[in-house]
Amino acid sequence: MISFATRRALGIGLTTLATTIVAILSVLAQAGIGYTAHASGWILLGLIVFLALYNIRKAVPFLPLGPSSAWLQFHIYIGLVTFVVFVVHVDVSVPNGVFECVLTGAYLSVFVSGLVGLYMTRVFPARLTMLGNEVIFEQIPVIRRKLQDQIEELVVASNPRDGTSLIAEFYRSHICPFLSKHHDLATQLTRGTGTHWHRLSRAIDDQGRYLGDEERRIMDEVYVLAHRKFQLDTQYALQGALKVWLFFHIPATWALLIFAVLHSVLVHAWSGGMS
Amino acid sequence: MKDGPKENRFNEKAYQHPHQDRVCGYLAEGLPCSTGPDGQGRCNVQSLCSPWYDGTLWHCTRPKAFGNRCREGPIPDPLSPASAARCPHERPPCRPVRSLRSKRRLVTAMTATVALGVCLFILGGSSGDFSNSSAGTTAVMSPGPLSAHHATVSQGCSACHSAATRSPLSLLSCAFGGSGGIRESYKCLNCHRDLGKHALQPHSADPTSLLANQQGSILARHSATQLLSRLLTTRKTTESGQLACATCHQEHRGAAFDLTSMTNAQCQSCHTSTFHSLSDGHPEFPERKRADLHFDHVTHMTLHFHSFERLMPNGSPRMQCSDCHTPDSSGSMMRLASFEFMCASCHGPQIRDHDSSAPARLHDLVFIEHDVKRSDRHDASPFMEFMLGDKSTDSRAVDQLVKALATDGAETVRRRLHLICDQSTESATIEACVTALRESHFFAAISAYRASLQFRDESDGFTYGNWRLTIDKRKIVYDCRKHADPVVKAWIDLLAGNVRQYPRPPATDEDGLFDRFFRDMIGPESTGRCLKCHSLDTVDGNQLAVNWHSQHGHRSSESFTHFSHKPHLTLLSNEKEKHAVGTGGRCETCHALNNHSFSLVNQAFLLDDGMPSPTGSECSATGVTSVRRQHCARCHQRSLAGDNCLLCHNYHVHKKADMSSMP
Repeated sequence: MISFATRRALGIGLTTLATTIVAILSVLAQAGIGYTAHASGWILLGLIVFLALYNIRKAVPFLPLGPSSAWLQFHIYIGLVTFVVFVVHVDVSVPNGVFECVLTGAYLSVFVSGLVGLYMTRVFPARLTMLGNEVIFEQIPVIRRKLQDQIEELVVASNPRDGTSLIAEFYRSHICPFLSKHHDLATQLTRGTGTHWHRLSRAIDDQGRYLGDEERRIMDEVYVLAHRKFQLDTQYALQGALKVWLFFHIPATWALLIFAVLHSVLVHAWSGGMS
Repeated sequence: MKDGPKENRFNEKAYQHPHQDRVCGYLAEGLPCSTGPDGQGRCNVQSLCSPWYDGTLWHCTRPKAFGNRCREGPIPDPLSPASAARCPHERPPCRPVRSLRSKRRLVTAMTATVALGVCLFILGGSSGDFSNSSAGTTAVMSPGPLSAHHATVSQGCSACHSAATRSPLSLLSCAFGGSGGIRESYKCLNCHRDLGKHALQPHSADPTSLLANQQGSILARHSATQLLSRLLTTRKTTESGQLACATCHQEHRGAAFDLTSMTNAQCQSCHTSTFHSLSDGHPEFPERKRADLHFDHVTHMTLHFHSFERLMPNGSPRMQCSDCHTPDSSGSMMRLASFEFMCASCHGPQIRDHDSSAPARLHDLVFIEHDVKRSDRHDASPFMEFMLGDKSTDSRAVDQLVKALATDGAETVRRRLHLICDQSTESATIEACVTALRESHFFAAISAYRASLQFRDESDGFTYGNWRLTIDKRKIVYDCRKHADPVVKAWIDLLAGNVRQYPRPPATDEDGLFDRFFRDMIGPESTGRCLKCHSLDTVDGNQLAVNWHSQHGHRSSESFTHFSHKPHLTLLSNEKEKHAVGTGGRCETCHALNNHSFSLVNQAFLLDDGMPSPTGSECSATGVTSVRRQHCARCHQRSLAGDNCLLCHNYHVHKKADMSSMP
């Protein structure tokens, strides 16, 4: 079992080596005549197909195709290499046809979304771990509901028979809107505290001076539960981002594959065929 | 009544199923059921609890996944409490919603569908519908802007791409079949018609001539770099040896892109012999081809021009290179001045004046010789022998020939020449001989000669033009009095094209007729001594031709190289750059005089019998050394004046380089 540091060093080293080889080959190709772009194009298409196979690999975990983690490593590093091959392929030129622009856009969309995904999959899990308890993304609404139920039980328990509880009023005006939906998703992605939670926690502090001992104890419990809701929002934001970026990366990949295949056919047809 | 509570084991462990396409509709509210929708995406809630009646009471059967049996238990139907009951926790069935994964699959499918639609649109755009619209196809599909030269092509993509007129369905066969770009290249030739009949062959040259030019071993000697570059690029020539234009001229790289630019490495990627640069490894330039005109610069510049007064009192020596060599209008080629300007002041009198100190004519060119008394008829004048053929050369035969020439001379000569000349001899060559005789008053001279014979004229001969009857009235000779005499020139041309034994000694029979006459006209002592300066070449294998005109300063219609004197002369006019070139920056910097070539006799006259050699191995000396590679490499290095192959080499050999456009 190789360590993480060794694995990363190995991956970066191999990627650098592959990039260097591609750069050298591109320079060598300039020494010949003919369409060097054909060779780089087929290499690029092959790499993209291999990268796309990772998604299929995840869909068929029962097949003995090697561990998914190894596929992911190859996916990341080969994905980085494709950018070098792409630059070599287009020869740092800007197309002027609609189709070529679309194709270029599709590749760049996949590559950039891949980089974004790489960043998120490297940063967000650590932040999720720091939040403590493991939460399944699909169960977040259920947990949120349970938190809401628990808070409502505390509020009901604090309610005197005359119905003049300050906590109940406070719950209606401040806590209930906070519990009703997820807040400050964007700011939480960037390690922000969140305006809503900041405002609520300050309101809870302010409310304490008007409460008796028993009510303050209940309010403390409400505060703890509300803070869990805030953490749940963070979980929702981070896990949601980890899932939503694939909504862009995977469809763009399929579009890229379709465009690339058509591009290959058109290029060879318009340049006179492969014979 | 039931026999017992029905076991309902829906997802007892509340296991999550993220791969399911649909999830419970109450999930968003935080109150999902644990089972989720069924396989068809329908809500299961109605089958969750089936109350069981034990004959006394109704019992709850709610599965563990839904909270196990409830404390309240089923509520019996008030109308028939023993036959029906309902679950008190029953809630309306949900409307299952797509899971996150299902939504992603949906988005992926929709994106792929849109992509396919775009592809169909592109394929539609690439079909013939757009073939006549340059704007239409270019807007849809174009890898980059065209070069400025092609940007104005009005036929659109179909002007260059045959696929532009193909149906979308045939594009696959076109992509994986096709002609390797050859069909497209023929479209290039629709406009570029000046590439010759071997346009698509490498160098647009005849393949056989390419093989002839191949020097040394044909085994490839490529460096590892070049081998790799060959692997990385597409195959170049087709099985027929043709090379698609786009192999080198790759379009769609912008208006400013130079389609003809090639790197040295690209040029050498095809060549069997490779080298680093002009200064390092380039093959040495070939030795100068034998000169068309013999002119020994060393002899003239070191001897004749300094002591010409004694033999050539009216001569004007040309001491400067620029006296005789002047650039043409484009400045690229150096033309030779005319004979009259360069040579006539000294050599004109030699040809014109028979009594000069060094006359060109050393013996008479006899055409008619009457009353041959010698036994061997081959001692008669070659012209007479030529005209009489097998007939005797006695007086009667000569009289008949003179009569025929006097009465119907031109036709007599024409008929005879057509009879004896080789089939390959052009009528124009024969006609030139006849015309030269007529215009030089030969037939008039013959008529006068015949009259003098008939009337026993006692005069001392006569002169008609350049024709002269000798004092003894036995010979009619031709006096060549000027350079480029048409009679001498026309007859030498005719004879050179028909000799078959030269330079071997001529046979004494009919077969040696042309060779004997030819030797009579070109020998070292012949009239005019034309071949003292004009060289003799073998053409088409077995024929000879005299180089009447120098090719100096004339560009070949097919050449692998080009050179322009213009930038070099400009360089020599700049004192600073002259110093950089070295050796004073003169013409001699490249065209050095070869002092070892000093010779008073044309080196071509080296055959044992003193006749000029028609073989190319013996050089008509110019006294100037051939330009060597190091002369050029002195400046043409990558960091100085550049050493790109195309600076000196034409790729398309037939195409004359436009020197006027060069700096």
